[in-house]
Amino acid sequence: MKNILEISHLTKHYDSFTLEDVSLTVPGGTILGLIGENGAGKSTLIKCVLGIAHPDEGTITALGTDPEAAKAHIGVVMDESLFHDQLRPKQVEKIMAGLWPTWDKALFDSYLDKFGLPADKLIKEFSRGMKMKLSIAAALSHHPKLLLLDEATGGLDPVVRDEILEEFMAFVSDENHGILISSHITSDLEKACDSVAYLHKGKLVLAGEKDELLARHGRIACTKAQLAAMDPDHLLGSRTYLYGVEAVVRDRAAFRRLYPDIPVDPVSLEDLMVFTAKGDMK
Amino acid sequence: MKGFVYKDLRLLGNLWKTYAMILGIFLLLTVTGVYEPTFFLTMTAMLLCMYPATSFSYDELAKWDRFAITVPDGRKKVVQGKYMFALILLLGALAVNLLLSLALPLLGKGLPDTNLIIAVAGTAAAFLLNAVLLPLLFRFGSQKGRIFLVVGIAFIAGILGALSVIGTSVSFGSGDLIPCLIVLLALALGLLFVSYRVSLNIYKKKDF
Repeated sequence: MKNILEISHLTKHYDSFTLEDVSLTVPGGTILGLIGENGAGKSTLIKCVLGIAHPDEGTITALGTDPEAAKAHIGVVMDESLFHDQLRPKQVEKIMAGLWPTWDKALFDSYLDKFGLPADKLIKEFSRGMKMKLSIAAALSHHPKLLLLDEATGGLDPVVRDEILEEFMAFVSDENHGILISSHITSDLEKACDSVAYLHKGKLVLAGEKDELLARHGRIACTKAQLAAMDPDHLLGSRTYLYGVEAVVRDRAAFRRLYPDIPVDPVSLEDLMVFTAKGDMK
Repeated sequence: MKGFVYKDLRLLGNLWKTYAMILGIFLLLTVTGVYEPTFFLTMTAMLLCMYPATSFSYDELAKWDRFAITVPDGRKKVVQGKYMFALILLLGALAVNLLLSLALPLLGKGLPDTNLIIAVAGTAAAFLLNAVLLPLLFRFGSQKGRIFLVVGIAFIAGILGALSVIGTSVSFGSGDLIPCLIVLLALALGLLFVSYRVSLNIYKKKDF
């Protein structure tokens, strides 16, 4: 299975923020979910892949070549609609047809129909969800092989999000396709992603196959005294409350063997994110 | 690139009616003697040359550049699209001005030679204004670009005012006028091409 996207030691400096030494890959036929709090660097990473921002260090390969050369095969959905409010979807279609060599009008029209978007209505009259659906329709309608989605399901209701995620999962059923999606809605990523990468303050702190990460980590609740007695290396992060402690452990199976009296529960991607960011970082 | 040009033409669609209305009002005021033909001919080109700057404002409001760059050869095509849009407008202004410069004397307003000089000079000035303005818009954005636009128009209006005085006091030989005007337009086009190369360089390096 070849890699659709390869990012190696990517670094980008801004005045008050640095995306530092990030490496990740998106194998063909898979979806990589990028999680991280606001300002973690998710959008910066996607911008560097697209050439919207210029990396300071590192290399990026998309579809086996330089991303600039691969742009005809890359579909993009940003965190907000970037189409002018004064336009209508039928005009967006004409604009896209003049920009993408592989633009498919019939496919775009079918997405408008599927997503319930009127072709004649001004975009400024669209809801946020409708604008996102229009962006998704435009991204999918030039037959891309790599999709880069930056908070693409934001503002969509659960029914539509489910529909969109199914569309994305169908997209990667072709092993020559891949998706990199960043999202705060970790439940969506748990549903759709094959692998996950967690950016925290510009650094990659956690990455791997989603099922393996969720199976390996565990969530515990214990007393402060019990926490004090634990080897801190077992813990990803913890949060101390007035009457107890919650923590995420790195290796559920090993932890159970060492501390059989403390129940270990399954963990979610949100737990991994929250306990790394808000807890005591180990 | 044609997608970008279509987008700009489409976005400014409603402004064409406003342009036609303003032209009509000023034409009436010129025919009735309120304004000189030279002022009117200058104004037609200057009005149109503001539209490329307006298109930058629309794009910034929509944060369009972030998407535009993601299309194949996006940075180059964005710049090409803006210059092609400006060129279409400027050639449109030239056509309107040439027609008016010949029509106005039939209404008893101005001399054909003087009108023609101002019509072409006005359009050439609009070319020059865009040649200077577009790289500044790519570099600084539309907010600061408006300041440059106002300064530029005032400067050019002053030059054209002086030209109109020279035009009435200098007579061209029967074979001199057209070639001179053609050379003037060719120079203006050349400047616009140089401006395009500068804009490409600016936009290639920009981060969003």
